Amino acid sequence: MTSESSEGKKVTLKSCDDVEFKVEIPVASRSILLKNMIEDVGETDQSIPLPNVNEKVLKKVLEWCQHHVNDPQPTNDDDDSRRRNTEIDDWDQRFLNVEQDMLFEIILAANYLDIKPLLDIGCKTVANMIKGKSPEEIRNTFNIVNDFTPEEEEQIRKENEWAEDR
Amino acid sequence: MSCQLPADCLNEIFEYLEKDKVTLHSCLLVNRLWCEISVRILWRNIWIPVGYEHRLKVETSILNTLIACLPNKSKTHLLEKGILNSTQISKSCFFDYPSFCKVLSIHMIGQMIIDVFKNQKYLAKEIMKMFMTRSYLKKLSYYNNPNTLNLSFIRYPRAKDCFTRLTKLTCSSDIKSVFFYKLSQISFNIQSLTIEFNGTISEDLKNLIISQNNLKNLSLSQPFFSMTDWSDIIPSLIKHSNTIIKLKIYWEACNLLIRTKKLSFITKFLNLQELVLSFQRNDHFDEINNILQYSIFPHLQILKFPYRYPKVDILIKFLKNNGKNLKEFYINYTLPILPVNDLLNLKISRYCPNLKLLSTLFKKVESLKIFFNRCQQLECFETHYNYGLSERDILGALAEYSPKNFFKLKLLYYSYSQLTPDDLEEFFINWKNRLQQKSFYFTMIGKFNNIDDSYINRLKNDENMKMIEKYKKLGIIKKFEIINH
Repeated sequence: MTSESSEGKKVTLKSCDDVEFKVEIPVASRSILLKNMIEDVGETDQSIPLPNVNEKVLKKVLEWCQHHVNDPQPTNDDDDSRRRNTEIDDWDQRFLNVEQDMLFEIILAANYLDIKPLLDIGCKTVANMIKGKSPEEIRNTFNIVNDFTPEEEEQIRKENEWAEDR
Repeated sequence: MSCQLPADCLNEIFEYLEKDKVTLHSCLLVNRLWCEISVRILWRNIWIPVGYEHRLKVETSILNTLIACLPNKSKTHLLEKGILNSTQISKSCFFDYPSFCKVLSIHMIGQMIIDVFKNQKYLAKEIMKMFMTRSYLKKLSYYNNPNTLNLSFIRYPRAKDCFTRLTKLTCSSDIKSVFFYKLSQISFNIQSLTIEFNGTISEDLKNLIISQNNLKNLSLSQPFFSMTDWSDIIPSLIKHSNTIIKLKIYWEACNLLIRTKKLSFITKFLNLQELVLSFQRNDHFDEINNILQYSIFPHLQILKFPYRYPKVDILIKFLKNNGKNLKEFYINYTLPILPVNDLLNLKISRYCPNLKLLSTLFKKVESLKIFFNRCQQLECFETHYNYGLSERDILGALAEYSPKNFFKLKLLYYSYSQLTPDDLEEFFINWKNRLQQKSFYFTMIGKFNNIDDSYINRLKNDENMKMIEKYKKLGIIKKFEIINH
């Protein structure tokens, strides 16, 4: 939320590949991590290093923060009600229409920077990609190696047979 | 994939699939990491109802796994009693599944054991002991019916730990008093309480309610044949009038005398954000009609009348006092009582300018236009097609007059749809030409008494589906679904 005191003031963020971004404080404050840092440190000319986020991803994340700068801060609703809504806004859907690696990098960055609404839509997008797929299809989609032994796989399948076909 | 997601992100993703057991089952078999994370969500609530044709298979599978998880002492005991055989007791499990269960249904586990093993009280006791020892429950469902386990599980060792974190309790009022008494000594943080009034009310149910520290959601239901008198329990409910934000009352019983002067307590809940009054008959409102017109709920956001509703003039007064913050309003119209005009709808639009979701019935398209004009926050509209405007009129008004954030239509059907592909195409073209472009969501809900696929298939008219697919590809319509309610 834009507050009168922070409007117009900027903070510098530095990606892990040493690229600096000058960002308005309300935009950066979509990240709870950055919001708390800014509040703790106060006004400073020093850049804030983000060792887990590269330039390409940070640029993308900041694009999301800019678009959602005026959204209300997420409430502390219980997880049940937050997850009941599986719909994704049109703009967000277009925003996340990216290569799989980039989608995962955005999720990781949202998790690290503590941007819950961005993490939510990223996770919803991946959940929608998984929905209705067989284990083999999921492995192919995400290029995952099956590290079970055939015996383990069979035992787990058997113990959870009740969920296989409902 | 060069970038792999860590466990906490995978966990977030799987949470969205909690109710999709089949997909979670697939996740389980992807690899070890996915398995370890998804198994906890899959087993969190295993009591999701299944169709009759699958029931025995599902119940047998769950019970086999639970039996394999039993401690050796229990297995030996059940072998000695001749309930299990040596093959059954030789199995051990890959995971400690009961420790993942956060929801327990006492009547459903009783049903399961009866269905699979006929009646084995010894087995039920060992399984319940295992749950009490290994689970930390968040939700407990305990209805009194002929299949409910007649066990004092609340007295088992470690039951205290099992129930300490309970946040949701669903129960009938006539469960043994000792259960409520013991629970009132253990669980103080129940946030959501559902009571079905049957037979007598256990004395200690009142004490359990009083002992709670943060009761937020309350749901009370009086089934059709119930004669239970609530009066004794009301003072304990009123004790929580400051914290309760959701109140739902389901009244099916036909005995008016029982209810008389019992429901006026709802006016005490001044912090209500959601109020649902699901009464089967109009005269069920007689007692509270006078009270409702003067009631003030400053924080009310959701108001629902799923069956009948109060007198229109009373409802208008209620909305005048409480409509300002209302975001969702549902009123159900069914034969033979249908509105004669749009008076109530126009008053809703005047007193509830911040509505985001409306479910009602309009008689004239002009009224719908006025409504859209006044309620600029509206995002979703739900209506019966058969008793009000035609589908064509509704779609026409939506495309032309609905506010900029509007995107979702739910149409309820009691008979076949009259929509033609041309009607749909005209609507989609008009929707596309709107200044504010938002993809459209369209749900057809068949409310057919006869569960007959032919009715649903008639809604899925081939030509219409082709038209919908065409505009889905163009991004005009995002989601279309047909549901049999």
